[in-house]
Amino acid sequence: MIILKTNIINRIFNYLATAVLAVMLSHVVVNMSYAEGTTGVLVAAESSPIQKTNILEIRRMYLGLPSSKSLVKNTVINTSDSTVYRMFLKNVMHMTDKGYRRKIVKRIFRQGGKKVKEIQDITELVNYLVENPHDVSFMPEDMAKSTKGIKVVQVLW
Amino acid sequence: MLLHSAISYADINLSGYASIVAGKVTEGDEFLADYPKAGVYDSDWSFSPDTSVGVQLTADLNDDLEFVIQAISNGASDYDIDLDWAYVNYQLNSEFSIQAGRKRLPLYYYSEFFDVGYAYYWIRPPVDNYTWQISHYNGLSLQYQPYLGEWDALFNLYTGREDSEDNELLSFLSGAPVDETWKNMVGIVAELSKDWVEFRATFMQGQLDRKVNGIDTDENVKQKFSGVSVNFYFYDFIILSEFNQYDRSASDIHVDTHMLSLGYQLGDYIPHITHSALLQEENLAGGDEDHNTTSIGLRWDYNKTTAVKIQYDKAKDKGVNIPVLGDSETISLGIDVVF
Repeated sequence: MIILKTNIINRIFNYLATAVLAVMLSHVVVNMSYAEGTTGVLVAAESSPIQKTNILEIRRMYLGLPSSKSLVKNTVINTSDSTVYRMFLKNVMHMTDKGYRRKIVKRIFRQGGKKVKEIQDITELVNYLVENPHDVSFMPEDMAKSTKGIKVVQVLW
Repeated sequence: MLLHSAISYADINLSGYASIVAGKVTEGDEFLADYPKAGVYDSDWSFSPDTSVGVQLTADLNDDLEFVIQAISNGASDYDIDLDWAYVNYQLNSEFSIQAGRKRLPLYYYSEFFDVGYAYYWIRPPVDNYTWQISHYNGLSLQYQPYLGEWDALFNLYTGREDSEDNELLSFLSGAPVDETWKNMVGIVAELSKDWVEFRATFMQGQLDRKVNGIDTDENVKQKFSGVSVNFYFYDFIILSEFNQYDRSASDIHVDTHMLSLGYQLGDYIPHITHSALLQEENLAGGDEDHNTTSIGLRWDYNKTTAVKIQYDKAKDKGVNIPVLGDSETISLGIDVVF
């Protein structure tokens, strides 16, 4: 009887230890992907009059909330690279994708306003920004510097 | 004419949502799934109680002035088209705005987006918690959304009234036409949220007039509503809670409602379990109400704009003098989209 109880306790302990290890490992993996040394920047068309602004203003604009008088007309979400999008959410919005989408849907149907535009293809995004000089998006710094037609407005993370 | 002319030059945005839901009672006779619109399931499959489609048009008349209109068609209201929102919003600065017109009454956490099924994981917000007969008001509101870093805050001060002829819920429950007016309403809502936590506090007071079969039964009766919600999104665990109190002392009516829900985000799936309850002790007029519902369900995010849901509800009706619809068990399946 005592041996049986000891076995059960050992088994429970093993399960718990495995679960704790799995959680720790998943944190390491998540933090590794966040630690990827990409610098993210806010970009606009080369001809855009948009100037550097406060990160809090950028966060509010991406939530669809009014910001202090700014030349930005629309913000565009760049989902062409899931790591860059995740880093944007973590460093600028301070929320997860599900949390961000939940906030946007609630805001639209409670307070009006428009959806935040989302572009999945990087070529399409660049062309869109060039054609809409009052709109902004985000991308890795090295990509922004090597892409014709757009400029870096400011570093985001 | 002027408004038409202004809208012709406005930046117009169209958004919308739809919830197509089918359900049936598997045990018992009936289940009141939507109190405000008196949507009832019985033993036959039905789409009516929870199905709704809404379209919202937002027109930026200039940089600071916006017109918002939202029309909705509900199965529970025979698919008539009603105006949920119709107001103008004037942005005083980046933090303050003022609205005038018709809006949803922000009593409960989900009151303002009650029909937007995509915005929550249930088929419908927990029924015993959402039992009020007035869902809108015509009036003014002042909103303040300050800069608080990673926190988001919203303070909403509002005032107004609503006249509801042949009120859907009261007429359904009493079996006679009931006209209900909520007037001189003044309320405040405070919300504070971060990615993983949300707090909300609400308070409203006003007066009530009621006519049953054309005869005045209540006039200028004071009423108060207060409530608190706390929600957590901690790693993959979701904990949602809501506690509300309604008080109409002159009629000796004191109602407590609450809801507690647990969900778990498993990739694109959220299994969840919820308990909601309403309790009104027997009062001087002999009225009481005591019912609760336990629900289990699953939400599947099919893509970024579509969710598929299934839910089972077990309702217990322990009211002695005012039973609602008795005990029941109900199954419902739905699909929610936003566009």
